[in-house]
Amino acid sequence: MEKKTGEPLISFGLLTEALNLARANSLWPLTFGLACCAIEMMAAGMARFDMDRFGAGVFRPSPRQCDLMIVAGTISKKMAPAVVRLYEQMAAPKWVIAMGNCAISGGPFYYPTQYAIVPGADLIIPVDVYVPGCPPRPEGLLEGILALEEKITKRGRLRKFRNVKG
Amino acid sequence: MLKDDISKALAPLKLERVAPGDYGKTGYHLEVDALPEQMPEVASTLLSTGCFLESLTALDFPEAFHVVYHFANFRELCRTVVKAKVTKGKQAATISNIYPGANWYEREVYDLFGLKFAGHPDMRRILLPFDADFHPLLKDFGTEQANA
Repeated sequence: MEKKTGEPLISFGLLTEALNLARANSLWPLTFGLACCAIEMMAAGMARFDMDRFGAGVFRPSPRQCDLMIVAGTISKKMAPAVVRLYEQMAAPKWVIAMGNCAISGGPFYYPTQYAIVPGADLIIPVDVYVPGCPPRPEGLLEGILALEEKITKRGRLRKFRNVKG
Repeated sequence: MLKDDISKALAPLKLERVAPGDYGKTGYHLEVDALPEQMPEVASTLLSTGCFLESLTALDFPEAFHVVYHFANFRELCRTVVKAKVTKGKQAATISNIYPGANWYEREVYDLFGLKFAGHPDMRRILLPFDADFHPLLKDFGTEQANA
């Protein structure tokens, strides 16, 4: 039994922590983009910014092999059922990053009488990390992935360095 | 000149207006007004002159919809605009059996304006969700919410 947050019903203590460490350092994102934010996501995956440094560069073409969904772009009402289906096809534990203002709140496409878009990914799927920007720079997405790693392991990635004295 | 050929071919149809246009000003070599029920004949004639359908859209005026057809040609620069006024509540005639490319254009016009095309094989919505109950390019769409 999985809760929406992806936390298991039974916890194995230290083993879970070790598993979470592994999960946090090999977040495999799903290959898909909905709009211009996907260009920045691709840039983050390429050599200059290189998401592989954090183990998150292995974009998988199938939702069954993924544990991270990066919602990069505007979600139109026509697209929303497909996004939900992809999310539901992913095996738990799974996480979602809402990348860019459109995925957070509809961005520049939202106004009171609009009829075409879903104003926010969190209206259709649970979102773990929000990365603001229009679009966010690749560094922003990397920061979001590091924040997600901290959320998964419940400890800072750079903690051991922060504690070094002298 | 292709536009002369086209106006000659359209002459037997007795259309409301077939006039040469000023291409430099309007971008049309030939401007045509037709009744909506004449559109299949007009389209067949234009097809026989080798023109292709460039675009099909509509305009929402208080008394009628203006359905606007743009035709162009690959061999010679010759753009033809055909306008058909469809009274509100009436249906336009489909040309999708003549120009298969018109199929989705006509669905788009139905989707955004609520104007149906008689004889169309698949008159469903195309861009908006199938269960939508509005036609967003109508002039009165969204005015109530905006004024509230």
